[in-house]
Amino acid sequence: MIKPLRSRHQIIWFIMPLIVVPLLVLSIIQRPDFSKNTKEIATSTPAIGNILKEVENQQLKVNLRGEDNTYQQLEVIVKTPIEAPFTIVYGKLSTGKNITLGTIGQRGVYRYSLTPGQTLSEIVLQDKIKQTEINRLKLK
Amino acid sequence: MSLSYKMILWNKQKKVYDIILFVLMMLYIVLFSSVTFVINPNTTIETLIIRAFGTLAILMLHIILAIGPLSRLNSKFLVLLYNRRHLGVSMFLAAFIHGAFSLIQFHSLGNTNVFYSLFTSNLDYFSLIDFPFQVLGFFALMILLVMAVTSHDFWLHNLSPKMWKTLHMMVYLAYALVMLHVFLGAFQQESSPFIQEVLLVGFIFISALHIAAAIKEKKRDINSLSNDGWHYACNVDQIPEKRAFVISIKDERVAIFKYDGKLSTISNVCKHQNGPLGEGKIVDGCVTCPWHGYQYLPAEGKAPAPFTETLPTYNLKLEGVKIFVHEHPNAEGEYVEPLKWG
Ligand code: HEM
Ligand code: FES
Repeated sequence: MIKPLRSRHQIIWFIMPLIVVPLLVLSIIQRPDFSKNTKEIATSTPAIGNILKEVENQQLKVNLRGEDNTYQQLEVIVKTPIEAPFTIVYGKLSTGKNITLGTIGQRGVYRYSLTPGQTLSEIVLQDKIKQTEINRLKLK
Repeated sequence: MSLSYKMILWNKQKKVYDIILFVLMMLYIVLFSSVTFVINPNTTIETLIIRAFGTLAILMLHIILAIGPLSRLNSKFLVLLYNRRHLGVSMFLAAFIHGAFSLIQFHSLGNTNVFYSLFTSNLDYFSLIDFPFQVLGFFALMILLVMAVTSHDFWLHNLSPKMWKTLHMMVYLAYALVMLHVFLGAFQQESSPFIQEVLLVGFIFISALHIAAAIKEKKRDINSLSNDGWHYACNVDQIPEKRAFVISIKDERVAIFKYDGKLSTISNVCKHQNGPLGEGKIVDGCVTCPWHGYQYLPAEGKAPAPFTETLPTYNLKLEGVKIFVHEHPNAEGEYVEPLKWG
């Protein structure tokens, strides 16, 4: 190598880590945990309490389950299969904040645990690849 | 370099290397598939192909990026440098399989054009979490494609080594893009377990190697002092037989070779890809580049016939055992009578 090329290499390798490493660390910290609420776990997750509220549309039936009037679990029954390869269920809290509940896919029963006290006003299914909305269901 | 060396020994060695490379790549795919099926038996074959080849490509990219600084830090790694190019082309092929399968699986199901879908299905360019990570992978793949296509020496000569080197430094940009592709993708896709953590360690390792090599090189770039245009280099006994001593004169590195009781000095920079000639040996009377084996006659700075590369030579003088080099390079290929000593 000649000197100008060496200098260019040096500049690149002194600067690139300063930009890339923080971005990488940030994304590890904020990475959502998809494994918590995937179907394999969901089907083996037993239902909690009684159905306190039910809402339904063409594709989905949604039950809010719990005991003593506190919602503890969201049960989503997929009636017609969702065709997008990778879909996520979001919950809209009554405060307006969105929370990620987990992934959803083929026909079946999916259960997601809720933090007691959280009140969901709506759930949204989103195709994460295309970033488009697949379905939306108001719970109130 | 002699023709017979190039045609027979060289190619045979390369073929063996290619076969080993192919076998190792297949072994990785089989291993990755087995582990995936044990951990998650529901994985579809398309997802498996996408993940196996994506992770293979990024693993190979790390190896490729480590070879350069490793061979600067320790000459034992120079063997890997000889064949880095085939590693690069194979890495591109693995990345290509990954990218092609992703495009088919995620973008060919709708009624829009595959590439139109890639660029328009997600436009959240201002969100970190929803950033269109596949577009980053696409641009990285395009850079790797250009590099793979121009990797042959034909392009090196046609584009000029300087242009070619600049082009191939784009691999660093591709590397950064791929890292972000995997990391931002993790928000939107379930990925292989631990891949982000492993890659963070890998990135820090590669950066540390490059920085260590840069620091080592920086020390060698300190220019020597001149006395009427003559620069003191070293004493005769500091150069091992058939090897060189390298000094930096006015930002140009120069290699003083000692062989058969003689001393000759040529530019340190190989005409092929600017390899460090002073780290090579004299083989069959020729200075042999440690990177890909180009050869030069030390007194003439000329490649032996039928090759045509030429290098600047330098004048030398001895004062006792002290070697001095004159700062003005001679014309490329100009013969300088070797200094005899002892
Ligand atoms: C047209 C170009 C590309 C497209 C469309 C693309 C698409 C994708 C997609 C959709 C994923 C998530 C797959 C999954 O986890 O199931 C992914 C992950 C990944 N990609 Fe790419 N990619 C491209 C180029 C590249 C290149 C050039 C590299 C590396 C050299 C690469 C390396 C990876 C790696 C390591 C992963 C993570 C694999 C895993 O999660 O197990 N990609 N890519
Ligand atoms: S740089 Fe390739 S042979 Fe010298």
